[in-house]
Amino acid sequence: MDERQKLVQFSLRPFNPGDEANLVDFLNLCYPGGWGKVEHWGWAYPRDPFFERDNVFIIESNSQIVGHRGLHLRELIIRGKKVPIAFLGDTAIHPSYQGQGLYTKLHQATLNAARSKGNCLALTGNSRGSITYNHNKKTGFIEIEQSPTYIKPINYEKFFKGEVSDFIARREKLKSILQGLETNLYLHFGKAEFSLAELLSGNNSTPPEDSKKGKVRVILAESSLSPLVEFIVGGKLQKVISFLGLLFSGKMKIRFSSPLALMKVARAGIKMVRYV
Amino acid sequence: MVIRNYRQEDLSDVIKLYGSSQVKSPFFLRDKDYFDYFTSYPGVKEDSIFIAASEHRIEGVAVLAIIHKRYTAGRIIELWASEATAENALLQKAVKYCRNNNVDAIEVKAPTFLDSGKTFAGWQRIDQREVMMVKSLSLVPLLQALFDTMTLKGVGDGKGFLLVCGNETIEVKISKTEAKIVETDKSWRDSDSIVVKVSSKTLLEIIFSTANPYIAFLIGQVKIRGIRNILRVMKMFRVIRINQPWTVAIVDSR
Repeated sequence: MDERQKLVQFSLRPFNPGDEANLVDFLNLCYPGGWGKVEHWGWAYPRDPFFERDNVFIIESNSQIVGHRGLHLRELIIRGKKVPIAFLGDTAIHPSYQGQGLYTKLHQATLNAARSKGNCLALTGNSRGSITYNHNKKTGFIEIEQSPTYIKPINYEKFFKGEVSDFIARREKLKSILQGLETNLYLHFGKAEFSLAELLSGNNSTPPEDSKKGKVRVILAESSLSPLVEFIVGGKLQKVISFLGLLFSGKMKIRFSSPLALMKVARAGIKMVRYV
Repeated sequence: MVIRNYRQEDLSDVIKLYGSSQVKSPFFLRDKDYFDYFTSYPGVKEDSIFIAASEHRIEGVAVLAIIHKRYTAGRIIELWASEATAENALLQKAVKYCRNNNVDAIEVKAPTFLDSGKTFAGWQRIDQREVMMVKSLSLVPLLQALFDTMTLKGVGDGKGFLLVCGNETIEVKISKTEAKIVETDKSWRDSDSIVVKVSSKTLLEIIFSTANPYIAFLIGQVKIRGIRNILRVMKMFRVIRINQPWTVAIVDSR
């Protein structure tokens, strides 16, 4: 941190009418896959039956929003009785201000507010293995079992392409490794087929293939979605097990034009594991 | 059973449906305000709220939102039914609606209180993507809800419990018909109750069945004063334990 940054003053304030557009721009900046639209913020906050201005926590520095977290108050029904709870959501710290302890301050402020409003549980939703997940685990949060999520793809190509694009967009390091890949990599999901170059360029058309580079095709069966998610969210050991499971169950097949092309992809794959 | 669109006059019957369901798993309150709120979720249209109705009553409700992102996603943000047949019929209607509206993929969270095995045949389960985490802020209201008066018989054998959980000390007085739970500043040394020392995190893990109380005791996460009280404490843990996963709809996790 340089001297100028040390002098920056931070202030914590509630939501004020008129903040909506700036808040949503800020959240979209912090959530690489995109957070959403002003319309959704309006629904999630002012429209919420328990909404109060001070349920929104905004950290500012020189009139610029650098941190955000929302508190959603609800009642949980346990054995027919109401238990007041606070859901902590939409947590974001500006990328340039991360590592300065702002998250810890925001976390503490929101937990204190939730407690002072009479709630007996604080809830959050996190991706397993994320920074916030690990932080929460260390600070007394436990994971609970909840309703399973089911997905039914209808248009496999659009769905899979969209999910993979989002996934790569959220991981800068993964993107740079893929951009440096010296092989034409193709992904197949069910009947859908597309090249990695197409995904990285963001176009719907496949850029011309460089014939000097070899070609590798990763062919995933339509039923591979569940093990694929297990691979993504699991720890390192889980990733290895899921990868082998996909391969040996026949849900994933790898075709390559030359052993050299496969080796290049495998080398990049090993580098990628920690960013997936 | 018929599947039809929701009408404003259905509201009170929908709320009755939520109230009448014998749901053992924890779930978030649904009342008139919340139902109005759910149905104003971006992407929900008047004709994308479905009702499963039998001759005399409403058997289920599904609220579908269509979201345009890199692909068009159909999100069933709320699915609640009194039985699996109604759930299945609502899902089929939602899938048909999605197909007619060029949706590329449909996402739903299944209620945990129904036997939904057959309903979701042909769907892919991906529950590991996002996890819900919970931390205790104040244990008293939670314990008040957990002590089920129907199962109190024999718990404590006439003795109360003093739970020492970090900064909170909670006294649980048990009679044949009720459990009274109060925060106290009583020292555990002066107490004639059964004293249990446990961190609030471990207690939550025991309550929500992510930790086994016997193992927690053996590894020292639960400390009990008096060897003869061990079984009484384990019985108390059995009473307050919730074995069912939480019922959380997409709209609950936003």
